[in-house]
Amino acid sequence: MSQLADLNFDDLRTYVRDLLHERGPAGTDIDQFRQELPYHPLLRHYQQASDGLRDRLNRVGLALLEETAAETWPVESLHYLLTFIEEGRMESGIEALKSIVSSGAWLERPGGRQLQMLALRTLLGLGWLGDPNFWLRQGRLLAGEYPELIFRALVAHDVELAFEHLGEFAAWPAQAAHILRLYPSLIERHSLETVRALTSRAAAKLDPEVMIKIDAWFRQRGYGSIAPSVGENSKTQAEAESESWEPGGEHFRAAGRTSWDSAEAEDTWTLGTADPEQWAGALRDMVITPGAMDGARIPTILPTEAPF
Amino acid sequence: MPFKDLTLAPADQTLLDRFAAAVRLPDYRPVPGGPAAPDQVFDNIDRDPQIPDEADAGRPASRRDLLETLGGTEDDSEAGLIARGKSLCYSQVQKGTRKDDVTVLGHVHELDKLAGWLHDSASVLSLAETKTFLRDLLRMPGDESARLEEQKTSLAKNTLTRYQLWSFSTGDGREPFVALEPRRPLLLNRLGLGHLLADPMVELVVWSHTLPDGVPAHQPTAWDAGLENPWWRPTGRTEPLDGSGKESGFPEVIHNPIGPQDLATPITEVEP
Repeated sequence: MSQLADLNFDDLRTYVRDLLHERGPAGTDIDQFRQELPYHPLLRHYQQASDGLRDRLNRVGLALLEETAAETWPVESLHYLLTFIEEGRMESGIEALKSIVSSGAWLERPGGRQLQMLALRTLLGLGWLGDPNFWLRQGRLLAGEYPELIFRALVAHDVELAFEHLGEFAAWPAQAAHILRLYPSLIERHSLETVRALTSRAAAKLDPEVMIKIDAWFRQRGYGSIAPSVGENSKTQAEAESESWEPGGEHFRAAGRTSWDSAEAEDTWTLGTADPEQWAGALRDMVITPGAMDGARIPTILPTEAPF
Repeated sequence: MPFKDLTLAPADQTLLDRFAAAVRLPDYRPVPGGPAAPDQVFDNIDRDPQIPDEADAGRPASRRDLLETLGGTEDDSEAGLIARGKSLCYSQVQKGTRKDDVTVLGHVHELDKLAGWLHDSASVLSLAETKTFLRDLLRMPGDESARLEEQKTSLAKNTLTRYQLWSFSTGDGREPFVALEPRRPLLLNRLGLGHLLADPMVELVVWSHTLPDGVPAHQPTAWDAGLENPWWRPTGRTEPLDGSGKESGFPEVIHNPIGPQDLATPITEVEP
């Protein structure tokens, strides 16, 4: 600690650069026994530093960030630098990151989308939100990779707005799995009821397999199903669910039908229950195994008993 | 054979004395309230029977190798000595005796370190969000096998750690955390995890795992233990912190990182 305080700016920059690249004597400061990553000792120094050393570490972080705009760093070292900046709350890095993002300095490099994502992730972590259109444009620049980043950014703006776009960001189950990684934090910030209602409201626009995946996530955690339920006290939630769980065109196409009307006209959709668990199971059968529409396993739905 | 059995030039002896002073930990006491043992790290290097005095092919680096490494440059500062000593340690991991008789192993990990590793260069979540995601996986209700499967699926990562893992076995085939109740004071004591005593706020998780093909286990040496771990002893067993001796410890091994698919029980939070 005192040794770091003794280093002049250039030597401190060299030390931090070497540490983040895990090389030289600086690299031995990473305690492998305790599974430290390169930014761990740096953050420890930073959090315990005097104002003077902290200020110099801030400036070193910024100088290295500017260095990476001109010089290619290994992606892992860059990730460690950005995590140091984000976890150290070095807001002075925001302008440099905005410049990197807007210039496409990293985006144009090999693996550029990942680098751009790291810059955007750090901006978001530092509290810079931009505006929703900025993030939607970035989503297009990233060519649909990292949709959960754009979703995360929109949530920071307006959680309802973000969920209006859920179908775009969770277009197939693998994408949904990434989006679901955000759900525990969303629930922590916005409550289970809100997140469930918003997801339920977005359900009509979701791919059926995505819906099943998300529904399974809720159920595995004992949060109930986001399939429709009867007798809910919450009017808002009931309204949200009635909007969301009307089977969409994709449900019927997957099941070999063209629409709700045609299915109803053929009188083959009868499910003699209002139990949401059974509804979810029936929909799952239809969606996952369209062949289940044949023969005895045809799920038939009586519209008069449907809980929609 | 310890350092005293080596034939040392006066300059080497001076170097060794300076190194011993550099790794000294004045406040370390093997038993709380007992006498201090500030030279424990040096003693571990000095007494580890797996470390030869002189270079010996197929064995870990020798004590003579340490001396040569320490004296290898003009930088004779204390920081330089420690950095070179650590470099030697990191270059000598898993050089101890292979242990092929291990089955299910137990491991204790810091939650923050696991979250830090999962928060990688491909992750869009913040560190805090990663930790919340992880906690959610750990706290999933329902039976253990469902939780284990969900963790295997959701921790889509090749390995659970960056560096080699320290693990313990029961030696009698029992599941590790059946033999050792996963409560914090018990874990810290029986496994000799003294480095975790200082901060009771560090959240811990445990898991048990098997080793995949191609990942052998080794008995740790003083090089694996490094220069900041006076709680370790070169006995092949964990050293309980209460001074009850190695017999109440467990056989310990080190091995390369394992992946989620190697988990035998789900990752579980440790009760305070």
